[in-house]
Amino acid sequence: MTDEALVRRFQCGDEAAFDELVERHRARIYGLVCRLVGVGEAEDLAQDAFVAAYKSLPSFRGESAFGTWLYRIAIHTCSHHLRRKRPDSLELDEREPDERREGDPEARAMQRELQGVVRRAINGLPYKLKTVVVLRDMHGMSYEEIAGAVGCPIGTVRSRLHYASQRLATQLRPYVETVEQ
Amino acid sequence: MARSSCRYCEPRLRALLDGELVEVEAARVREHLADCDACQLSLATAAEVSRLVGQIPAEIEPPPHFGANLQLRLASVRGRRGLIGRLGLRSAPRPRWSRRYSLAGVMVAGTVMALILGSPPRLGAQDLVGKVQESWGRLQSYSCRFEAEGVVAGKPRRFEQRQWFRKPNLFRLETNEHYPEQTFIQADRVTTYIPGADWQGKRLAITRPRRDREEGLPFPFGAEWPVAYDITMEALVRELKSQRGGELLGTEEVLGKPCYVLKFHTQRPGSRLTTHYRVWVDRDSFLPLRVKSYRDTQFHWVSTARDLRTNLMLPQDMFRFATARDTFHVYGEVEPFVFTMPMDRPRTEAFDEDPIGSAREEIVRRATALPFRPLAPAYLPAGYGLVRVRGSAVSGWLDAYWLNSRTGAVIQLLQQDGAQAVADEGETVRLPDDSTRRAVWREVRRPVPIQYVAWKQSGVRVSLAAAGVDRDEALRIAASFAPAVQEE
Repeated sequence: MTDEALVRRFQCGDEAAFDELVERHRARIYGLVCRLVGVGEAEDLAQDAFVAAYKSLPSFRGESAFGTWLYRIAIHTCSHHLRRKRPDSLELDEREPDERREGDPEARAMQRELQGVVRRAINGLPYKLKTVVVLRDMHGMSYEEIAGAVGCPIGTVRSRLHYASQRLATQLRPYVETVEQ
Repeated sequence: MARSSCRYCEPRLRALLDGELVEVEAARVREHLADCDACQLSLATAAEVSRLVGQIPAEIEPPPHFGANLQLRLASVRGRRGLIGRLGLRSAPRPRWSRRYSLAGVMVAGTVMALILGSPPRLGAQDLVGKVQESWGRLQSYSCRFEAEGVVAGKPRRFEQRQWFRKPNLFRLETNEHYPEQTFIQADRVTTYIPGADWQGKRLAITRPRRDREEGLPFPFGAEWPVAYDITMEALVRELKSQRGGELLGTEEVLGKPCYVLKFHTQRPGSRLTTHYRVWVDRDSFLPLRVKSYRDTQFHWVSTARDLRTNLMLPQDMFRFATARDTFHVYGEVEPFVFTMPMDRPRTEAFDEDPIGSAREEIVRRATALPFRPLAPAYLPAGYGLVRVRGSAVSGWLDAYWLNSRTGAVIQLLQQDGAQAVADEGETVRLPDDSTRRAVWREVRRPVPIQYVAWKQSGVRVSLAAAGVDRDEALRIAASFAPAVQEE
């Protein structure tokens, strides 16, 4: 059953349909929030996003895909949270709750180290740049979808991605060059 | 077409990579790239950066309790939504003429709702209580350090306890609430060891039977409840379940752990005073970590469980008191304060030499302040000396304790206003010297032998708990009671 069908069922009074939507999207939303605000506060904020979605879903008109709409809520929740929080008190958690198990141990260790460096570089980006790069490169969203989720024109998405790429390239230069050799 | 510059191309490289340029733009950028090494390198770098970022997983499985916690929060919203739905408060836009009646409609609906349901459903709070109950059901043991701080009778107080608990009924606590003491609670007994006590040059250990209201085991709160003075998890859940005003306020951290905050209030039977509570429930373990109670400026408390560890291996031995050297072991219906709290008038030799006369003297001294005419015994078995007599004019009771300094057995006497007394359960007997007087008698052999006798005499409810004596002896003591002050 599609997300849209589940949304319609929920709007007709089937509460269980929302549980199914949560089940489908929770890892993606939790992952997104982890990247945007850090693991430490991700659980609360991901739940906030689902609670907000639950409250608003009766008036959801399906003008965008449910997934994009949910991303928009999660991003708004994170932005709101960060606005309330003093910037100097923001601590991005370096813990990585998800570890891939495949591959030989040495390669896994190197992979983990490299991912740690990339995560720290992403964490160092300003929030607006971080959001677009996470949505594009990790979540594979199109510029149009990102524009819908972030609530800005496509041109803005393009320029933010350009600046984000530049900054990440500077941060990751040693690793990028190593990979090229 | 004019050749494009690096300035034109570079901001478009990332979009080219993503296939997000319109064809005209893409063609211009590709044309430039063919001749520009710098932009080619920039494109390759952007591609590599994108690849590296793309290797980080987008999906992360949330912690195991995520679903349960979210359900709790949704349940709270569903409760409110259900109420709104049932009241018909959310509906399609209405014609303007109907809006003027909307306020009246809401008020009528609200009144009808209040009449039908009493109060709005608070599903979130009750669901949380269910989780607490489940969690407590799964728990086999715990250890923690429990800190209490607050104001009692207008005076600031602060103390700390260490607690160990093992299901079904083993409990040990070490506290400095009044002085250092260790309490060992087993299935049938409570033993308290007071290493700092000096009773005739010895430390003190006291063993008494475990009481009915101590069925449940204390959890680190120190809050006072309508039914039981000592808070138990069972009492907590029972109280919360019966609370119609319970409310889930949100989440807050206690000692760095995210907790749900639950609010409710209670009223002791016969009291007009309301005590307001907040309980912080750990979101991971669903066990309460903090309780705050507030009655008024004179009585308020916060109790916090630190270092709470659950399901540990706790050996049975640690719940059993091993008699220490130089310790005088006392047994009977007696609490440590009888021996340890300061007396308004120090003990004299007469307490041991004339335990009956000195007890009468102490009882008479307190008689004028009591709302009843107290009684005093005219007979006690040999070897028992008076320890102390206490009385409360406000609460209307008087008690006295005699100790056999050879065996450690204690006789306890409690007197209350007969009008308010409630009969104990047990077998009805007749006292040896008065066939018309009826008394309730009960014998306990384990963990320590105690004869319980209770009766009503001259408007006074008298209870005797005599350790170290047989039934006849206990009834003989009971039969010897007479008003301490003769009527003028």
